[in-house]
Amino acid sequence: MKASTVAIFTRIHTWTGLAAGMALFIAFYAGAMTVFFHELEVWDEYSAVAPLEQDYVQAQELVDQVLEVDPAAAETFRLYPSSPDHPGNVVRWFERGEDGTFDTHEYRMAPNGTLNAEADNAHLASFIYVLHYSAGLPARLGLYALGIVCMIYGLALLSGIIVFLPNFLKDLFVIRDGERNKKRFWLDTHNVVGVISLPWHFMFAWSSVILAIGIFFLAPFQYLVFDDDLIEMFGAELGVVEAAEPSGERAPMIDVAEIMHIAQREIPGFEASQLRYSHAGDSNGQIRVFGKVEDGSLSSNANITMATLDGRVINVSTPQSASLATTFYNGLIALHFVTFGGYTAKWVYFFLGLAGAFLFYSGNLLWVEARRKRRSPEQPKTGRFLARLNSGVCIGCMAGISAAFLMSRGMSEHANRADLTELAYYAVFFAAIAWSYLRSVADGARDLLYLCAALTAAIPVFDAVIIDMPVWRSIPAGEWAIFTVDCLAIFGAVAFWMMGRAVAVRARTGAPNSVWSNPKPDPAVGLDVGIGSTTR
Amino acid sequence: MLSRSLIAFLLGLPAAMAVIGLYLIATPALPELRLPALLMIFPLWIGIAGASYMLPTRKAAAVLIAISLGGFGLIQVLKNMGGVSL
Repeated sequence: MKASTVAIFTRIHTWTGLAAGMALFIAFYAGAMTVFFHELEVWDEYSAVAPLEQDYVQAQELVDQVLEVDPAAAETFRLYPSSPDHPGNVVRWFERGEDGTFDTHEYRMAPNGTLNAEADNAHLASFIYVLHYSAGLPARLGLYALGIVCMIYGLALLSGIIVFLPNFLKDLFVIRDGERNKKRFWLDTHNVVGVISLPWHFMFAWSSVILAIGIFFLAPFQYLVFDDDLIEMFGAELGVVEAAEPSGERAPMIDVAEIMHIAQREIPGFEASQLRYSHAGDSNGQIRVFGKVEDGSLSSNANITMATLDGRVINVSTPQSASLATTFYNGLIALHFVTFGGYTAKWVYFFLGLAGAFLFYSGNLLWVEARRKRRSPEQPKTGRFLARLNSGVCIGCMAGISAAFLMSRGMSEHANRADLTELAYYAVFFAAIAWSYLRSVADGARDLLYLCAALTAAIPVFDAVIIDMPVWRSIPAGEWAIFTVDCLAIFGAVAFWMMGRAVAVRARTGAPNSVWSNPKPDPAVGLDVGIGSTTR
Repeated sequence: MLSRSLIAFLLGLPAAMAVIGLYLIATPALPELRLPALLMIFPLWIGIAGASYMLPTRKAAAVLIAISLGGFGLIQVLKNMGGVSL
């Protein structure tokens, strides 16, 4: 490969990495946690008095009561049947406001049979999930912004592999200690992580673009290529099925137990997770039951649509019956959401997600190291600026997520828990960015890493103090979600503390001409005071 | 670099759409491959955008515009004259 080609793609890789790196760090760090979305919900919803499981008869009673007190729900609502991890049936519907936002209406049945319209205040898992696809920007804007970031990410992957190709065999899986040259160390680790997880990263870039801004990619085909409506053509394959128009005639509905029976009959082994009603109580009413069927295939998603009047089956979709197009689309989505492979695949995704976050962080560090002036104590302003921003955003994101964990646990009885959880994240995140600019680069990064360690270490302490579930009791109590979160928090806290220590040691004893250097002023000489705080 | 990136980013997309559109028009008898073909737009765009950096800026812009206009023009010709309907 020509040197000029490598030079072009090195520049592309540098600038695409800088443009997308920090947003992708947040997406990957939050995404690694979102792999365990369900388990995070279990951790967040822990209650000393465990709610009782409910059956399908109680689910039907709940549906009937909701339709009686809130008839507007009949147009479309969702029933989440009780499961061991989420005991209690829940009905939820979304009311669209004039400004386009949605109000959530949520109903449960209290043990005494009365309707409880208080929304669940546990919000941590869904907040981290939104953070994963919005990077903390307002949700819709963030989704589109992340879609564009993922396009840039795709170019960064292509350019990265082209840059790496000439030294592929020489540098493959090699990490040099970088005793003399830290850039070498960061480059090697960046390359190793990038090469190991390249196919996985490519899948993520691809599926994320489809999920976030796919509609903008498809829309031009509607006008330039196809004559028919795209949604009509691909709706079923994309999982978008228009409900039949209501007739206006009232009609009885089959009950939940019968719906489940029909679903089991049509899809043996089906595990229903959501029943979505459309025009309930109308003679044209439909219900679509979503769930999964474990058959060892990549995509386990299945659903069945039936009439609410008599249970007549309208459509059945299973991995076996899916068309090539559905399999292709669902496969890509399943690869993104790791809905296959059980916990083995989830743990692999979790660690690859953290490794991905490291990839973007180390990419920015490489940019700083590449601009380092080895013979001058004065370092480029751009290097200092990016080093500070990188520390503030990336470490601030990690500290903010730990703070959100603490707030959610600490305010579990508070009605505004959801808002406070988000507030904790944003307060810590922005304070971290501000702090990184108030301090020298090395001091700021060290402080933020120690803050991360402290906040993360407090998670198991909060569990022990607030819900009386110390980590050693979580195993005999069978609270695996709490045990896992607490253990990961302990490991994470130790890792953050070690990283903070490494930054502090490098600041004192590392090469002096670097933004990461922060030597103590020599009182004997009496000068150099302030270099650490003003120029580095 | 900014102008080249804008060319790759903005002109690469319609070029990728034109190529996939041509494929769809050329294979009306394979409806099961339509959705996968549409989903392939991202890998194809990556390839086209990456390849455009190998050309001088103006030449890259000209090639991508030619692919886009030529592709979409051909699609319309095939639809109008060949009676292809999707």
